[in-house]
Amino acid sequence: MRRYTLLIFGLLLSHACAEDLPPVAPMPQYATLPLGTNSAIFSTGKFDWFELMEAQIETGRKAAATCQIIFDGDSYMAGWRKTSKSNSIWNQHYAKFNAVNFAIDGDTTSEILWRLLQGQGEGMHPKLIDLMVGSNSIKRNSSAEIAEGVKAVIDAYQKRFPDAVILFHGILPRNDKPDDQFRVQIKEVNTMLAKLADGKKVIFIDFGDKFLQPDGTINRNLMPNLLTPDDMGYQIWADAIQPIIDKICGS
Amino acid sequence: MRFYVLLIFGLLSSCCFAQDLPPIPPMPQYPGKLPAGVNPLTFPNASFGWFDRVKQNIADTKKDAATCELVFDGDSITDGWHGGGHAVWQQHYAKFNALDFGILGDRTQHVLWRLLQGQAAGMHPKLIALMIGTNNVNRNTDDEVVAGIRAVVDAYQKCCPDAVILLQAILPRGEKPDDVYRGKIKDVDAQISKFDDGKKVIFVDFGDKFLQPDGTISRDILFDFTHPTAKGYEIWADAIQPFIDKYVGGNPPQ
Repeated sequence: MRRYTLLIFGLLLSHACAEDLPPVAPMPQYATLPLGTNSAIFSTGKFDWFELMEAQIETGRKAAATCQIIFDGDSYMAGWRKTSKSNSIWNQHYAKFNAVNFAIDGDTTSEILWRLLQGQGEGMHPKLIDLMVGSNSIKRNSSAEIAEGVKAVIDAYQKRFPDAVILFHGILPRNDKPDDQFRVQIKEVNTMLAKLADGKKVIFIDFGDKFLQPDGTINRNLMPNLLTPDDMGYQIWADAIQPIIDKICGS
Repeated sequence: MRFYVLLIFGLLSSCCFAQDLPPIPPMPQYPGKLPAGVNPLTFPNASFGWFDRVKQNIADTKKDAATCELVFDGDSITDGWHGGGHAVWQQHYAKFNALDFGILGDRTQHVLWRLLQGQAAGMHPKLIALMIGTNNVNRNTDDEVVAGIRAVVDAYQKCCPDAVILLQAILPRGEKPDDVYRGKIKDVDAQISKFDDGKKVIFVDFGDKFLQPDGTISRDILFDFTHPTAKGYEIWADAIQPFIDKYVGGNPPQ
């Protein structure tokens, strides 16, 4: 009897919850201007994010047959295409796997979940998904919320690519001092994230310490603005994940 | 006869032109606040932050339409009055119930769209301080940027016909005088200076005040060679104070 009560209660709860949630936003309508039109005088909302997402989805579609690694995340991950040096490290290490990078500046787990609903990754068969997200939610959401968000992204990627291995990263440290409020929460979130790994299909890696000096302050040679890795920082990143790439994708 | 041929040709070409352009995109539909207890980070949603800012501008318009005497609009450089320029803003403009509609990253086309959505509708500011175009110069030709700025001036005049538009030159950016965008900005500024009609559109260029004697930019004033520091906002405020005094008045209503 008690079991049934619990079951009914559970069903009611989940039902109520589903009812409370607003519908997920549809893809907004935006305009593609005919060639030769002056974009500066055509009134439009700012759809840059959507245009970038659609272009990247298209890149994924074109590489669907051959792509072995998908990268996704926020500006840290998008940084792979920002400088000629990070780009060249990328090309040197990942071009042979026809890797595709879906990351967009400023994104949180919420945007990645939405992008996946819009068809990102459809038809692809990657062996490895490399994920770094969460930084943009620090000091805006609770650590438990951030970890839950990352778990939701891992789950969504696993559902889409049941055979792929998910490699996900600890959030990189930012701001100089070890007792900085951002640093403290990042540490807390990373501890929670580590527990989401199973060591087989879901692998956690945290190389944030490599960006620190022995006294815990940021190594400014690697993160001059105390936030984003510079070219040398991306080399550290590449070196850290190479063994996993060798193992999953073959050298 | 020739007149009619031209007229028909004009009608035809304007018709073709209008047909070629896609419709202006509407405000997207997206969920507002999620119910309490729902973790927003597990709810799929796109990056609608910019549209939230536009909605805030429209809400501010409705709230302050009766009292606002001074409007600022533009991109991140104007948006920075909410950030690094806040103290200077409070001191100089708060008394005029001034509103800052500037949004970081905006280009001329985005200001045009915000106005169509109801931003500044029904307001009666005395002065509208505009600085826009720096995010166009790396995407459009100089002539296109100039046309974009003209369109923004026209749209504001239509929206607030009694206001004077203080059209501010695009600030120089890039550390060195030979930076790739310095020349483009100079060219655009020279062209838009001609929009000054001495009455309803007043052009002002205070870019030189942001430069060192050798033409370089100091991080002390534009911290990333583009965006003003608190000191930069002070320089800006000083440069436009004569226009504020003249058009908004030194003695605001109590």
